[in-house]
Amino acid sequence: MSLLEARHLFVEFWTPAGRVKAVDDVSFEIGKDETLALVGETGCGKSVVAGAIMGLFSENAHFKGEVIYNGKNILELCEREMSMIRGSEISMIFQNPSLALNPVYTIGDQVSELLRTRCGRKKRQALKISENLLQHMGFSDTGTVAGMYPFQLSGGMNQRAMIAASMALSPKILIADEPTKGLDGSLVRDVVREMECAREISGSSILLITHDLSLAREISDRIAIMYSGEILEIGGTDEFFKSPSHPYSKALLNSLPERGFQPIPGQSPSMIHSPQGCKFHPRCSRSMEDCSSGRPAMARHGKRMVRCRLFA
Amino acid sequence: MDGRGSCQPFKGLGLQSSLGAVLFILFVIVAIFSEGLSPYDPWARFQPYQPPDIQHILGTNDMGNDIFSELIFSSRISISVGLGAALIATAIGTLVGLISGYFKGLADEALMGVTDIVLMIPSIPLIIILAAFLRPSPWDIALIMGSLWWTSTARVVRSRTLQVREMKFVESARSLGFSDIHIITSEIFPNIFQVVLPKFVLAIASAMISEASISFLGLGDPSMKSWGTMISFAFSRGGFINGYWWWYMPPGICIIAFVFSVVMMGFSLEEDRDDGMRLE
Amino acid sequence: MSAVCLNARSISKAYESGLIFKRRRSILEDVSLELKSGETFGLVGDSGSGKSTLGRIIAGLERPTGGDVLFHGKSIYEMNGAEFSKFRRSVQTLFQDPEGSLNPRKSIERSMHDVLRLIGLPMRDWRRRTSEMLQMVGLTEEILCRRPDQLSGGQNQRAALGRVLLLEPEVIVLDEPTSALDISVQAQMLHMLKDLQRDLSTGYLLISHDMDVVKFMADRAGCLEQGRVIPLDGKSIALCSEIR
Repeated sequence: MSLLEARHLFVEFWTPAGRVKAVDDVSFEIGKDETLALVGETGCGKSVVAGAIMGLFSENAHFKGEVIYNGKNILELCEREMSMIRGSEISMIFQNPSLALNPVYTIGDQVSELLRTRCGRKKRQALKISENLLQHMGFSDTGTVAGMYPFQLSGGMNQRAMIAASMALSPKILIADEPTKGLDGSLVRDVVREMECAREISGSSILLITHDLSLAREISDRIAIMYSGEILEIGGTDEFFKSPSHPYSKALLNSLPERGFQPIPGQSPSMIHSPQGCKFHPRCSRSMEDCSSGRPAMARHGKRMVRCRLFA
Repeated sequence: MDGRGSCQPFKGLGLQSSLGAVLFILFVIVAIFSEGLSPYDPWARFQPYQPPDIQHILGTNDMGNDIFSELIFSSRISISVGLGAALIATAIGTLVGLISGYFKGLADEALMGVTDIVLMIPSIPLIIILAAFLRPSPWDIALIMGSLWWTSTARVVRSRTLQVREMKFVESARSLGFSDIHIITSEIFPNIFQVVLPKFVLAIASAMISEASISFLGLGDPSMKSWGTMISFAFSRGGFINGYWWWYMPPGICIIAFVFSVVMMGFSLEEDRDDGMRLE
Repeated sequence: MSAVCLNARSISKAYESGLIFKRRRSILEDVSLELKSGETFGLVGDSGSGKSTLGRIIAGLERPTGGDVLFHGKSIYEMNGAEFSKFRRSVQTLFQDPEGSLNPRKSIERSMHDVLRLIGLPMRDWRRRTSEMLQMVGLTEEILCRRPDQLSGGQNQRAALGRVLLLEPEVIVLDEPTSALDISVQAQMLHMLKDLQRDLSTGYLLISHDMDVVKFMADRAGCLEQGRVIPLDGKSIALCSEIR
């Protein structure tokens, strides 16, 4: 029984340079109490997917498809209905926490904000709950921390505070958009710990958006690999890392330091003029003749779905 | 990323700045081609005190000069004083701001000190006093205005230079071994240009109004026709009292229209800045 | 046995702040480092450990509060104008932020030509030299007319590297050259750097917080900890407590 299901999601940005197909037929589901990692390199469209689920679109975005939550297609909801879902049912944390937090309000104020506006709690009550949340996030002196401003805390602390804020209403789904980008090794471990903690407390599912394969490996149950707007492979994390199916997945894992930094030839394709047929075939070591004619569909391969002619 | 609405008659400019630009260019054409466009020589004398009619679209003044011809020729002085003063002010301000912001330290302190002193000088009273005693030509006035008004440009350029200076590509340029002069002109200047341009354009407006005011006060050079002198004569020769609107309304409207065109361009330029240098 | 070309001796750097109540913060204390021609020395340490500062001091972009930097045996602080210019050209830096190194208002071509003008190459040779350069760093001619914001991180980093290589430096200080890049792009970049070193015998001072990158690239390595460099024998991690 899936909590959230994206069905054939398309998002295009109409720019003077052309139509950017940022999300090109993406489908996936997130089950209850599970973490799905959406992994891909810069510009593959993963953040756009997150924005689509939250209903956050820029002016020049055109979308099509469905995102089913609670039996409804939330893409069709009006702004008011969507804003009721945001924060309380589906919540999001962003990269660069120091910028996502408002510098003129204290941590306590920001963590308790949702509690005051949505649940109508009184200020003191809301603060108490916030301090509780902060404690779960690993802060020891919660009273002092709640009274501090973002600039007084380090990047890692701000990130934890932001996670606390987003967990305030115990959302069913937490979307984490590159939560560890730019953070050092030890901080990455901290954030990972806090997120698992958050998951345990409120039983939320997590959609983790990242380019960091090791992070995905550590905390996700299932993993989806995105390339140039498409999902190329989606399946269980452990099996994926043991033996990836799609040539791009294999090449990506080979670029890791453990496997010797083996480079993938060529560069990511333009999203305005994408290659004919399979988007990865120009760089693929196993491309065949018909890889350039017609896009391969997602096909089942064991317990996974792979978009490749080799598995069609 | 356009300015106002989605209408873009010219590439990269919104509706507002396009209108401003068109109007501005029209005025400049009139100023340059005054001889060809004006029906008569503005100094030629006809029947004085004529109201507007077919022969003289705006009538004639007390000396018998055709007012329409006067209006066209006056654009020359008014616009060139405006442009001249703005050019001088912007050039000095940019230079001071760049040197101050790039070299910092002693040069910065000294130049900012000078800026503060110049700021204290009240420009219009000074010009009035100088005008009263020295009877300067419009070019002298332009020079004086330019030498006093560069301060705000200097401040703005300085703070932008301080910002740009810290950016990685400037450090790269230093590391590659480029000289300071090269870095200032080739690396930093193009990145502050967007800040200088609107200041220049708005300075034209200020200069024009100042010149008009000074001429109106009768301190201008009476032998040269400008919109300000036209209004001044209209006043002193009984145009206002007698209700000869064709003496003072046309030059007044011209001043307003020109300043308006300049301001429209200037404000749009200030807003539509896509300099690609957001501080992350 | 290649010769030592860059030598940092007892470098210390401290920052003082405050007017009346002065506070002294010491970033580097008695740090010494040797770089031999054509080799890669990896410098690891957590962020804030001062490794970038050390890199800048060695490249002559910052002055230390104490200590000396010797280039081929001569102190760079005692060089005259001409000698220092030569040092500047020979020791270049590649920075972490790919988009930041290039002037956002200039096309790549212009940025390259500026450098060619600087080194005094006659204009008729510019086209040829730029083409050679693009080939060396794996870029195509079509990027020449683009500006940095129209290129990807990997492309920008390559262009920045290409520009540096135009000066034919002896040493390049690589300050976290790949941390802002994607995994596959990082792999490409590291291999390219290795190939270039083999072809041009350039020395690298590789500064990174990523131990794997250093293990892959460096011949010798050191760990910057509490203001001092502790050498890592045979790239063993044991001595460096901060690294995971």
